[in-house]
Amino acid sequence: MLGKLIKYDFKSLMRILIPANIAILGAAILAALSLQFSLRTSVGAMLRGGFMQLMRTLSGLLVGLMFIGIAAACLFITFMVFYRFYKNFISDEGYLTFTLPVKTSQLLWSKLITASIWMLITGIVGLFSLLVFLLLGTSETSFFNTEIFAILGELFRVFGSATGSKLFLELMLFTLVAMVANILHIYLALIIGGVVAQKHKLLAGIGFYFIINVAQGIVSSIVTFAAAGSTVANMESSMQVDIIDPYDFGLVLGRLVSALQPMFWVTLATTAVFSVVFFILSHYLLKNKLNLE
Amino acid sequence: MAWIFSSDRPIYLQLTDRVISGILTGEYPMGSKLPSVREFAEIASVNPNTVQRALAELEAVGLIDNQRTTGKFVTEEEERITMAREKRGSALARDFLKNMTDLGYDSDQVSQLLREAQEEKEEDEDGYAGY
Amino acid sequence: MDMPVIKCSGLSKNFGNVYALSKLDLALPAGKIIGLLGPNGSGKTTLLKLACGLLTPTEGSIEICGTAPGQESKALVSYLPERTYLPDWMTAQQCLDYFEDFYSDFDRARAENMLAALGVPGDTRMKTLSKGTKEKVQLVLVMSRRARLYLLDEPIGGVDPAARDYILSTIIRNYSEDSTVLISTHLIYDVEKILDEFVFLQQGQVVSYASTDSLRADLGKSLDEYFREVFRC
Repeated sequence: MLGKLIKYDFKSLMRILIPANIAILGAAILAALSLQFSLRTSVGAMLRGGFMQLMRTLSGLLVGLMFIGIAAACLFITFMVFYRFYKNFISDEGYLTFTLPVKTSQLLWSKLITASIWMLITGIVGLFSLLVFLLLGTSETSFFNTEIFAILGELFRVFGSATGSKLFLELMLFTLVAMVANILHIYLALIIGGVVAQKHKLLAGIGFYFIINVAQGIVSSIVTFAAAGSTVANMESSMQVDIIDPYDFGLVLGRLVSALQPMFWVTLATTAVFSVVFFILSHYLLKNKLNLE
Repeated sequence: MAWIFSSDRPIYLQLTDRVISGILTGEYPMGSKLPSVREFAEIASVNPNTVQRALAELEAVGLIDNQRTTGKFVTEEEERITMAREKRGSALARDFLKNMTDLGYDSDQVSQLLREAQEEKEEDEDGYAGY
Repeated sequence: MDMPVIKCSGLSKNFGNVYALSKLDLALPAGKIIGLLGPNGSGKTTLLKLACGLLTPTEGSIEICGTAPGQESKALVSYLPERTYLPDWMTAQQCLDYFEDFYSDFDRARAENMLAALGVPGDTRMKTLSKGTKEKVQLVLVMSRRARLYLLDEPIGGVDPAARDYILSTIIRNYSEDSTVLISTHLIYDVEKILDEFVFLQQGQVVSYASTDSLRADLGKSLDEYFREVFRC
């Protein structure tokens, strides 16, 4: 049943999110090409012809527009993922959703999994688009920017090393956990809005997002503060300039990472605990308190 | 079109009356197959259980034969239908007489009225009112 | 007698301080079409929502075919809410797929026939249908399940007489002997012909529960007349 739920969630978002992701990629390519065009139009040409000048201005404008477009598309995708949740759970569609022969937990899981997948897809498309833009749009002399390749190679080398790959994995892990926590945070807010408000449930949900945010902020700053002492001590002992060469990038990174380890795990654990709490609360409210209009 | 029922009698009784009328007037000829319970329910727009009950009543008095596999048929025993006709006829006559008496007619005046009506409506054989 | 399809014991539901149902006891048998009748705010919708698991009782219990509402009971219950609940991006065909995927008792061929009779093409999106047609599609989906219990909330409220006939005949056509149909409505005159039994609710409690024919036989009154008498203002 969970599989079927995911299938339909995926389908309903696919219609909107695939075109939106293609639009992001397309905008990035277009921006890159028009930037390349304006880089290659020499200053002399610019002075000579009003037409060229116009084209250059236009292409600059286009680059800006494309970036605004990409930002809008990303916002739009995020909004759609959560609007889908609201429609499916809190609005009239809830009458269908909550009378399906499935467990409430399965409903919640399916929403969490589809949202996570779409967020990841969008994130990957976004990164890829940035890469395309940097590769295609930033060189005056060649079609591809070879310097970017070099930097990429360096990045891969650093992340490929023992410390680097550990750092990379930890970053990935943290991204995932933070993403899940954020999704569940918004879900919980929407659910509380649906339970508490008689009308304007969506608006109430947005309000509760900020209330949860404040509560979460207070708790996590207490935890962080408690953990901060040892981290600062760690940093001081391991980063003394007289022991390490500040220009050895790999070494500095390694020291930094190991000094920040306790802090990292504390933050990760806090975020994970928040996720679990959000999930349990959401599940309880959906099961026992939600009264559809 | 849904059938109309009056509100003072159980619907299943009104249904049996209606089906008997159908049998007597030839809507459901002797020995013919009757619509199924569900078809009846849809035609009359009533509950299938009510139809079931009405048809069971008719089965009990022998107007309907239930052949388990093929369905329900109007009986082929003529005397059953004759009996039903007589019963319906005398019931109608009694009702008619009672109504006329209530209006203040005596039986001679009723007979007189009936003769006149007969003459006026030569060609219209079964122009009964009220039912 | 078999196990009741719905069994409520001391069932109460309150919203804040307002009691929608209070200490309601009721057992409904299989194989009947039953009217759930009562004035507005008498708790009809609340009872249906409790039966299909959209709400949880404040006190007391409700059982569907012997189990508390949950995943198991939801597979047995076919519920038609007052709202139009189909996602507007879905086509009629996708709605059928959806029901077929989630409900093992869904009779697709039957649903296809009814949709064809209604003249709803498979590739129409719900968004483009009128409210009345959407409601009919929902009815078709709900009645195409071979469920044990059908819960129909005001199925004929706010539709024209032709649609009313269509809805009632759809219910009659698809009802089977071992399932129970519970129809909530305040339009008693239109539904009483198809009811075996009726439950009158008032202020969250059962005022009377009897068979429609016995009412006529005993009191010489139609349900509609009786209702007007009981709930005279």
